[in-house]
Amino acid sequence: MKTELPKLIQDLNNSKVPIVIIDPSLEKYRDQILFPEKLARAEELLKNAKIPENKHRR
Amino acid sequence: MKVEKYQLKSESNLTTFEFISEGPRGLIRKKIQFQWTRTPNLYNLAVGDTNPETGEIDDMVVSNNADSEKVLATVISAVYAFFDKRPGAYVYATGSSDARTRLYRMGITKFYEQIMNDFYLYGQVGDEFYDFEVGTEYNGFLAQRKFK
Repeated sequence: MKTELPKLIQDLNNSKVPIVIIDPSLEKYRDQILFPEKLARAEELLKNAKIPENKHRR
Repeated sequence: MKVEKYQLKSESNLTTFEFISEGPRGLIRKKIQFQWTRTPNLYNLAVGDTNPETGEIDDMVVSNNADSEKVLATVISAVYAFFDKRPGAYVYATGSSDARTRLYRMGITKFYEQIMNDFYLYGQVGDEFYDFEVGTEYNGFLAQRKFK
């Protein structure tokens, strides 16, 4: 008889969309910018960038 | 391509994720954040370590924990989870240095087949985005989920 644990691990390893555990202790990060330097660099590189057509709005 | 991944945890909005890297340097708590930018519907992907002593986030550290492929596969799986909730969004990524951006490109190349199957992927040169090509240098990368 199979146990639940190997099935879960198998699901985790085979699925592209992962099994994500929702952890209430992480809620405090929702409105917090954790990597401000990275965001600033991205904003600078995107400032005048021409974004490709959104494929989901045709 | 089947590669091991770490277990992901997230807050309920699926924009900030956490996982624990395991390797010769011990257990390293890593954060992944999809950051809202000034460009509508476009999120910046950022990854970094949590300093175990101060609790602060360090986005410049090189972990050297001998698990880079597993870490990369975990970050890509977080991208899938993020797009699953926001199918019309764009995700942008650039390194904190040119060398780090080259590492990102090498990582994308490693997972090229899977990525091209599931995402529209563009490489940035200056202010233009082009269809991603292996072997080309880019300033940044932009992805949108394909749904068949």
